[in-house]
Formats: sequence, C-alpha cells, structure tokens
Amino acid sequence: MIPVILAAVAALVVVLVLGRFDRQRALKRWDFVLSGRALDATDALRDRLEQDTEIAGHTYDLALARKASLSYDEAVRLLAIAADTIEEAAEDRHRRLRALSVYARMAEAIVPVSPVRPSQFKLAETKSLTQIAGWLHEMVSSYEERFRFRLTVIGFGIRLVVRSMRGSRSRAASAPAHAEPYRTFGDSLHDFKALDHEQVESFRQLMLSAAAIEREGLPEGLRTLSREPVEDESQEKSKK
Amino acid sequence: MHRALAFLGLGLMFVVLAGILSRGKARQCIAFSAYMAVAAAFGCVIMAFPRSYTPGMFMVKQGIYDSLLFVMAIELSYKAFSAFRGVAGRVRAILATAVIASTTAILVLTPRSLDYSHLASFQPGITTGGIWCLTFVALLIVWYQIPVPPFTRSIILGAVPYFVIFVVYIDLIGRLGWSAINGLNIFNAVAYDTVAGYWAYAAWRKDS
Repeated sequence: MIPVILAAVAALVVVLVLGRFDRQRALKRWDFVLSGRALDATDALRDRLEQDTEIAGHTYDLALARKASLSYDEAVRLLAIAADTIEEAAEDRHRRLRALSVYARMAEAIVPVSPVRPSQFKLAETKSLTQIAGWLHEMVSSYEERFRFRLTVIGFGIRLVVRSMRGSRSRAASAPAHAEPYRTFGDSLHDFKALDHEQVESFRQLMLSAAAIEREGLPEGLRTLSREPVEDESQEKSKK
Repeated sequence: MHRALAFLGLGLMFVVLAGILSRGKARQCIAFSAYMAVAAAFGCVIMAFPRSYTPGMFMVKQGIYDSLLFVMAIELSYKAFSAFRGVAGRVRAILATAVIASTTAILVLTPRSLDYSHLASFQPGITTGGIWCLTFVALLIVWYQIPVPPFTRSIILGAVPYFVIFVVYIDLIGRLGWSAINGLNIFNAVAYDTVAGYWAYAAWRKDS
C-alpha cells in the first residue's frame, strides 16, 4: 500500500506543480535577467518606490498641519488616507519580493549581501527584527540562502510596519489630540522608506549577480531571446 | 475488449514515434524515444505471436521498461540543467540522493528470486522509485524556472500519472489475485491509451 500512496502523492505534485508551470513566463523572466536592461531598472525601481512613499509622506505632513491647527477630524482622515496608500504599496512590495526570490534561484551565483542594518529603523519592532535577523544571517551557510533570508526579513518588516500604522491610525481616531499616534505613524513611514531602500539594494545585488551569467553556455532558446524591452512581472502586475 | 485496446495503444505508439521523428523531438529525451520504440516492438511481437508472451518474457520486458524509466529521469535532468552551471551541482546532488534512496529501497524490498507470481511484492516499489526520480526533476525544473521544451514537459506530465495507474494495477493484482486479471488489464490499457493519445498530440503539436 505504501508504494501506491507514495506514487499517488508524486503524481499529485507533478500535475499541480509542473502542470501550472508557464514556460512563456519563465522565458520572460530569463529574458529580463539576461538582457542587461535589469541594471538600468534599479534606478527606475527606486524612483517608483519613492513615488508611493512621497504621496503618503505628503499626506502625513498635511495631517500633522491639520492637527496643529486643531482640525482633528481632518487630521485623522488624512492619516487614514496615508495608511491606505502604504497598505496598497505594501502589497506591491510583497509581490516584488516574491519575484526577487524567484530570480534569485535563476542566478548562477549570488554576490555576498550584508544583513539589513538595524540602526536605520525607528520602530522598536523593526529594530528588534533586524537585530535578530543580523545574528541569524551569520548562521545561514550559502550566499543564496542569505539573500533569500534578507528578502524574508524585509517582507516581515513590511508586515510589522503596516501593523504599526494600522494601530496608530485607530489610536489617532480614538484620541486625536494625543501626539503619540502621529509620532508612531511618522516612525512607521520612516521605516517603510528604509525597507524600500533595502529592497532596492537587494534588487541591485541580484542584478549584479544575474549579469555575471555566461550567456554563451546557455541553451539556444535562451541565448537568442529577443532584445525588445520587457518589464519585470511585478511592474506588469502593479500596472494592472 | 482488451485486445482492441492493446491494438489501439500499439497504433498510438507508432503515431508518437512518427510524430517525434518528423517534428525533431526524438532527441529531447532519447530514453523516452527508446521506451516508445521498445514498447512498440514488444507490442508487435506479442500481437503477432501471443504464445511467445510468457512470464519470462514479461519479466524481461518489465526490466527494460524499469531501467528506461530511471534513465529517462537522469537524461531529462541532465538535458534540463547541464547548461545552468550554478544549479547543476545542486541538481546532481538532489537527483543522486533520489536515485540512491530509491535503489536502496528497491534492493531492500526486492526478493532474491524475481518470480512472476510475486510481481506485486516488488514491482510497485521499483516503479514508485522511478516516479519519484521524475517528480524531483519536475520540481527542480519549476523551482529553478528552467524553460524546458513543451514536449519534455508533456513526457513528465504523461508518464508520472500513468505509472501511478500502473502501480495501482500491479498492487490490485496482488490483492485481488490473478483471477481479476481481465478486468485489471482493461483498466491499465485504458490508462495507457489515454496517455499515449496525449503523447501523440504533444508529439505532433507545433511548438513555438
């Protein structure tokens, strides 16, 4: 009976995993990695991430101004808008992190990456997370695993920041005159920007690694991929 | 009924062979092409000379099929990953572990005297070992995003589910006894014809 169960499990795995594998999508990913356009995309990514946080930052500044002029309802409303903007941006960041994780498997070798620096964060939870991650980083053996661990830490950090924002938003709604929720919100926004910076740095490191792939050794189909500009999948999805 | 299904299966094998040869897909997995050719050859001999299909001949045929199943997994992994030097080492290690584990399991499970009447005691283990080797190749292809040719994907997608049916078929022979062989043969032949039909479609399909 055991061989039958093991064989059935294998078939289920193959049908689910290989059956859903999209070759065209894989080719697109390789095209992006091998084309050399990826390095130029780092600046574009940095600008794009900054746009999101700038909108939220501007709204937060407006909320502080309204609070100073004692328009508490308006201040809370603006804080909620800023929080929504960041929550939406966080989803986009998670999508990008997942895509980076896939690209990391495709690179022949990953350049050494440093752990996420705790000193740049203001929230206690993100600081603690990155400190613990810094110790664990040294225990992870290969560069590829360290790179993927770095992505996991960034993803977890984003979740913590979003949770902190939600908390400060609801605290501001119940006690709009208190300074603490606005201060925590500002700290969360600062940490979100710092995590964005770390994500761009991970992307840059990955693209440096991918650029080192020797195209000549690859199969014919990959060597002759088109030179037409393509966007990476996370950009495509975020556009949709 | 079983004879008609067997004829259909044989016909489909020739359609697959003609397709992979005319579309230039035979070299994507030489072990699979050899598997099809050997299966077609055995099919012709059995159809032409039914009396020659003895238990001894069955064991020889099954031994060749089993060997080709393992060779297929190794060849597919070699062809898919050899160009990717960064991952080739890891893939070799994972597949070597799978082959060693399945070979050890087979050596432990297989009785000293391979007897046709005790087929159900060792054959499911051997085929399951081969299935898992192919499954590891499939998982590694997806994990490392290797854009394998569509026909290579079809080989794995067809082979693994069919061999599961084959394992169930042999297991049922052991449980129900040889008296149920007629019904079970039909069950196995329907599954084989279905997968052969899928391979025939994949072989003749124009891949971009």
